[in-house]
Amino acid sequence: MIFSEIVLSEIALLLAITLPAGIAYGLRFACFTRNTYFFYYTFSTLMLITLIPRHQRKPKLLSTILIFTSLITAFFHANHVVLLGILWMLSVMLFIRHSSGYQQYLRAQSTALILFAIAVSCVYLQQQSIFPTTRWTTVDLSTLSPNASLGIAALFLISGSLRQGLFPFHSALKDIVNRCAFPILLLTTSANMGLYIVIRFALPLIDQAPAWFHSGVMVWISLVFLALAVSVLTSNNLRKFYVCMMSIQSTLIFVGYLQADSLGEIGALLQWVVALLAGSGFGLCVWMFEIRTGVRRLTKSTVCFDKMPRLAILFLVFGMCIVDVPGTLGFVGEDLLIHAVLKKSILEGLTLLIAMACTSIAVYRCYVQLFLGRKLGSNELSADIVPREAYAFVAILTLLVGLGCYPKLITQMAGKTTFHEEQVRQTEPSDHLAYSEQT
Amino acid sequence: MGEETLLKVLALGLVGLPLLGFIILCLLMLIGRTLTESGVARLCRSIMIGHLVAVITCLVIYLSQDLQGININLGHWYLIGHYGFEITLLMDGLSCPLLLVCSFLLNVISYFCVRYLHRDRGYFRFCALYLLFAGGISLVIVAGTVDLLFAGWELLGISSALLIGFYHERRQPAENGLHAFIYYRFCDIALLTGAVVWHHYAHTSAVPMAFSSIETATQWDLSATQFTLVSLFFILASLAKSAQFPLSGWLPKAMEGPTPSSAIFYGALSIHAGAYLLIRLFPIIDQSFIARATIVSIGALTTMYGAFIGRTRSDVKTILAYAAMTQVGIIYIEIGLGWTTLALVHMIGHSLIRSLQFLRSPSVLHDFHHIGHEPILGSHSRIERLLPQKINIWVYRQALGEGNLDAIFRVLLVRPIHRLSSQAIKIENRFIQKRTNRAGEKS
Repeated sequence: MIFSEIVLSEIALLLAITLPAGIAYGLRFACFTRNTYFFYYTFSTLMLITLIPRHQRKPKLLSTILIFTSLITAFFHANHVVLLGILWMLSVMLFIRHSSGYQQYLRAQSTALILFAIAVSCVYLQQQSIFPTTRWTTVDLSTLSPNASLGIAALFLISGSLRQGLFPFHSALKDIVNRCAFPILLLTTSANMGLYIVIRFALPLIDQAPAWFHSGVMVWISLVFLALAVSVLTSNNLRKFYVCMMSIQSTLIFVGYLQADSLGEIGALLQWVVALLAGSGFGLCVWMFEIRTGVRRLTKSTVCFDKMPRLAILFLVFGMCIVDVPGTLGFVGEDLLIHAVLKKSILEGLTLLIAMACTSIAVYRCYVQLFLGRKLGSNELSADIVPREAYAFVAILTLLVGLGCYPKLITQMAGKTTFHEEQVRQTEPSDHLAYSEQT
Repeated sequence: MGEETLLKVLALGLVGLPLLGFIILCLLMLIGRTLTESGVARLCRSIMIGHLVAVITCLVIYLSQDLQGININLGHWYLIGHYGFEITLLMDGLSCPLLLVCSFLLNVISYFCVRYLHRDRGYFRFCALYLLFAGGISLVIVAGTVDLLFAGWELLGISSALLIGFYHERRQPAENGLHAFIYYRFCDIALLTGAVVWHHYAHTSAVPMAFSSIETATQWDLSATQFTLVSLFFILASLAKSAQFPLSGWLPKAMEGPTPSSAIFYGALSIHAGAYLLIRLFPIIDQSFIARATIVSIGALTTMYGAFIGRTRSDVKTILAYAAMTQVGIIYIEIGLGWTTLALVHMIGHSLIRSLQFLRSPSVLHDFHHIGHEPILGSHSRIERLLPQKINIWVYRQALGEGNLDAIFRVLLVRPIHRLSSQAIKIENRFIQKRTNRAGEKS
């Protein structure tokens, strides 16, 4: 029986690695971000199902994971704004099953959805057409009056930030942090759905907005960085720590896109992939740790390195990979982002760098708190990761290191679209959003 | 095979071999197949011998080319528009001798740790981190661009912090590792900012050839302020790695790590990384008087600080740590005064003698207790006898408290941040609580 379970897990893992790669090759990366998501969610679903311990493999949890990942994948592929809104709503409704515990979260999501609907309606009233998507299909926002475009941009920003839980709209995340099953927490935080809304809808309007609005957004982002850096350094809750780290990643991606040049955009895209891969690897480590020890606090050391050496190493490696270990994709993404941001402003670049430094210090601190500093007695129970879990982690790590050593695979693909966008921006500053995915 | 191809292979081997060894050991550890102690030792030694052979061959090629610096261009890691991460390795009058010393010492340590850490549970881990360090330091030394140097710099920092916390079953070493890591990270910010600012001002990230200030300075069209700004960033970056004043508090705490790592990190190689960075970038620093004066001042302060405090310590490794700090302070003064060749010679000599002292330190104590040698600490020096007793006592008290540097940092930096964050958390919790209560009342 055990043998068959191991074999099944290995097959699932093999599928997890080969299937998305095959699909991605088949689609020839027609649209990079979307295929990344398709790839990632197939990968993570199978990975999560593979990693769930036998006693936790309940139909309710498995079905929730499957439905949630399907909804997210569809959300990122939706080409129509109404469909996008419906998928967003459905993903929120998953939580209604447990509404007694998620009141804050549901309220925040409802507000975000309402704001999103208002913003879309405003565009419809101004343009007499349902709001089109911006970065990947033809769109012309030049008919919008400047004041209306500012208001709509703000609405989209707030809506996306509420969805993402960015500072100061992060209070609703408490429900998720405290009550959610970890796989759902992982999918919720790493999905970056709110960020997607901001980038796709608010960003083109911010690009057109006057300089003071742009500066205001950058000041807000700097404050977000500092708040998150402090939170991540002082957090005593393991799950909250993880959520803060992922929020820093989301903000980094947003900053990259905000620079509106090829360096920033490709850096942001790479950072997005890093957040997906390393973020989930790190999340899985946190989850494995939680399953084994039942510990969620960071106040004192709980286990000894000797009892779980592999989990400890993976925890540290994935945590560092999120930031900037040389040779991994995170290093490339960070390098591009920093060049893009520092080129524009040294002050903003420094806040970004401080946030990054704080993240890596916080990861190391967390590692020290969780794994070092106490000798366990021989009769105390704890178990290191089993081979099937190790293989899953090695698969993610291989992707991170492989793409880190050969980042051209992504930069060349992503570069084609981005350079074209930049060219369009330079040649047609007032109407720079009129381009199509096919080009 | 042409000379150019041979050089490329050798240069790649220099950096790649230790890193490959590290990856192999990590993968083995992850899939649960650990090698035996002798197997790990054999792997480590063979990699290090390969490293030494590569270094000697590079040195021979360098010498055969009339001491002309060699730029080995391995292409771009990635290229986006006008910005590219170039992989260029440099063999010149600075990197070749240092590489030789580095490889020699790494080989010595690889042999030494076989006996010293025999049957230690962490032997496998030590070797993995040691190989990571070897890859990192080689990359720092041969890096031809500031970006590439930063990559090696980071590997150095990570391996150093992990080795300080090597004896993880005790709380203190683990926390000391974290302490060192915090210093490293904040200086990494300075290096990265310096690198990016340099890239934008000079439109290149290539580091200048060693000892070439006059020729290269004319290539860059930078103002004096720009030179000063970039130089100050690089100086700040160098402070933590070389434990210079005021970022030196981590060094005595780093002595909790195993002796071979103390020897190679804080006696020989890692502690000189900051000085190396300054010598390497001296053509840039040379353009700014403020930067040079800063280096001299920092060096002088560190020298005095290290010398005073070192004399009040009773632990042999801590005394050596402060002695190393003092010597690096003197090297800083030499760099600031423009005597870079002397600084290089000083660096090499100091690396060799200090690593020997560190490796000998455990047996010195043994000899002291069993054979009855002369006391390790010397008697009062002439200066101490000349000073009035009050001043002597005051200096002694200050030295015992390590100049209260840690306390100053705690009061000025850590405590305000902690207070601010706890206030922010309180406000946040109060806000959430209020909202939850209101929701409860409504429902």
